[in-house]
Amino acid sequence: MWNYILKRILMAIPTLLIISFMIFSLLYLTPGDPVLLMLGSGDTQSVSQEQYEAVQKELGLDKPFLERYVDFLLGACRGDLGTSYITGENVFQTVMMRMPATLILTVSAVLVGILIAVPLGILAAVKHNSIWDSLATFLATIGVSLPKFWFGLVLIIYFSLRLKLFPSQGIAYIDRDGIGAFFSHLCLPAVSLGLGLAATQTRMIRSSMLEVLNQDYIRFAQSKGFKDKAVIARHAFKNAMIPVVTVLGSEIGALLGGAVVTETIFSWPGVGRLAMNSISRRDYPMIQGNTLILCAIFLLINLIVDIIYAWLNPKIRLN
Amino acid sequence: MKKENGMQTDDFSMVPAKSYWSDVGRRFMKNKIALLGAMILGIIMFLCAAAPLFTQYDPVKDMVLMDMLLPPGSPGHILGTDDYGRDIFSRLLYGGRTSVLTGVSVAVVSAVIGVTLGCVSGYFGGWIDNLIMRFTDIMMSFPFLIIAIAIMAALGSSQKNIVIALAIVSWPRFARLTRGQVLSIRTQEYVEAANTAGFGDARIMFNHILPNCMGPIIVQLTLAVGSAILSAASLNFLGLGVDASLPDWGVMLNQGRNYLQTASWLTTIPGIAISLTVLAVNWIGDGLRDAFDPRLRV
Repeated sequence: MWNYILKRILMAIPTLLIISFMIFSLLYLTPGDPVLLMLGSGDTQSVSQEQYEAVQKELGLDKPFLERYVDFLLGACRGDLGTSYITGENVFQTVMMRMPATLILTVSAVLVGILIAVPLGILAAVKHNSIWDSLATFLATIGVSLPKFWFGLVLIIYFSLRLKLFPSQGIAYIDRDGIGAFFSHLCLPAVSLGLGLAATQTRMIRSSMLEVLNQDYIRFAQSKGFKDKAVIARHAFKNAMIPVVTVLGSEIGALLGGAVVTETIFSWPGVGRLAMNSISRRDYPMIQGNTLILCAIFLLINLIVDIIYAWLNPKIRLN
Repeated sequence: MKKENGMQTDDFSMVPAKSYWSDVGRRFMKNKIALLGAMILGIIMFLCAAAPLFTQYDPVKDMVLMDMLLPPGSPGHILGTDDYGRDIFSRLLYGGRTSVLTGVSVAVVSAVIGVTLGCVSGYFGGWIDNLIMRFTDIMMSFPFLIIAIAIMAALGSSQKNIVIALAIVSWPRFARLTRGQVLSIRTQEYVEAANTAGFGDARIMFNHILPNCMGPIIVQLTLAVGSAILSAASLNFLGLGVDASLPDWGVMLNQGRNYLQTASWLTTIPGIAISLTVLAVNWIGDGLRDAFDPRLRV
């Protein structure tokens, strides 16, 4: 088991290196002079040569490309991702300050997804070929096909603007605004982000349950006279969850990406909205740091899911 | 159960021998949902392609500010008008061209890259396989939309760049799928025969092996069109895509955002168009999957 964990961690390192190199060179290739951006000026005429060179040196932009990348990488290892061109804030600290809001949203979306998918998927598999099965499959296909951000907008139109049940914008904090406000602000964004996960997981759980329910040990348990509920809960569900957990890691990663759009719609003060703001302000260190941290968190989640998976499935653990 | 299997074999022996592709076609035609999907998609594509036949308004130029934000059902504007007084029905039809074209281009470009790499990887094996597959694994462990957004931020906004950004993040699925298929076919006798006959590697790969693993690739291609339409809509919605004055379903949604309270149809109509198109594509994809491999049907 420890060998497996160590191997997975070692495999994550080259991935992170390649991601960091890609992000760094992408923004290096981007048109636009960062020195002028930093000086808040549109052209080279209005700044003096000395001023220009001083800023260029301060940002380390006078060094060759590879040296700059190595500097960036060494800085990143120490938690230093540079400072924003626009606001002068420390990139790492700014992103980390926004992170809790994004994580709250993502975790709630995962919970919403699982709470919908597990009962629906099991119902569809157990009542295979019934009206329930068709209904669950139909709903899941619709859920996969809807643009999630559009679903979020529709939720705002109906539940927030027409029925006035939930606020459409912003976040509330438990200590400042109370627990009721916290959940009412969280509700619509979490549902809109969790819908995609609910749909793909319903399909996964259904097909995985169907496969397990046809296995001999399930028939054996049934023939021994166990109640259907006990067989499903104790024998089938546990085994059916193995392939479901495998894809959960990358699904949660997709949620992090979706969070960028959801946060923009609901003015949720998370990392995604920070990324969009930085893009519109062409604040490259912020975009760079933001993307890198999101990728690192994505890899970390995948790592954790893989380890849980190995722990659940002895076949992997022992190899 | 056994008896049932026996019945099935008997049934199949009654069917006159047909080619693989006509078998696939026959199974697809029996699938009602897939046919419904094909019909919906056919209608949508016809409406968009022949847009000038159905609407006399230009989607960009015909601005009548006096007629702005007319609700659906207004005389002359069946789906109403937007904030510049442009006809929404016309923008919807012309916008469908952009959205569907982007979706198809992304799917085709990523399929060409992925299938070629997967084919080479599976056919040659060894260090080439190792190298390509490690790279594929790394590309697959990227958070899809975040990387696409970063690429768009760097390349700048345009329809061509959307296709590039989305193709860069979507080819690995094709590579992995194709490699698996090629691995299972590479050891077949007809491939060995072609090898013995002295055919070149490229000819064996693309003329002998690839045609025999087209089924799953076509299914993946179909589903990729749907997800590319959705991702392109997200990028356009965020304002990272095509020029905001061009008609595009994602751009239309972005416009509608400012009028959720007063003119919600600006948001609901293009969203329904995207959902319906992607739903139809997914139904076709699921139907093709069942048609290519009836064993997968559970």
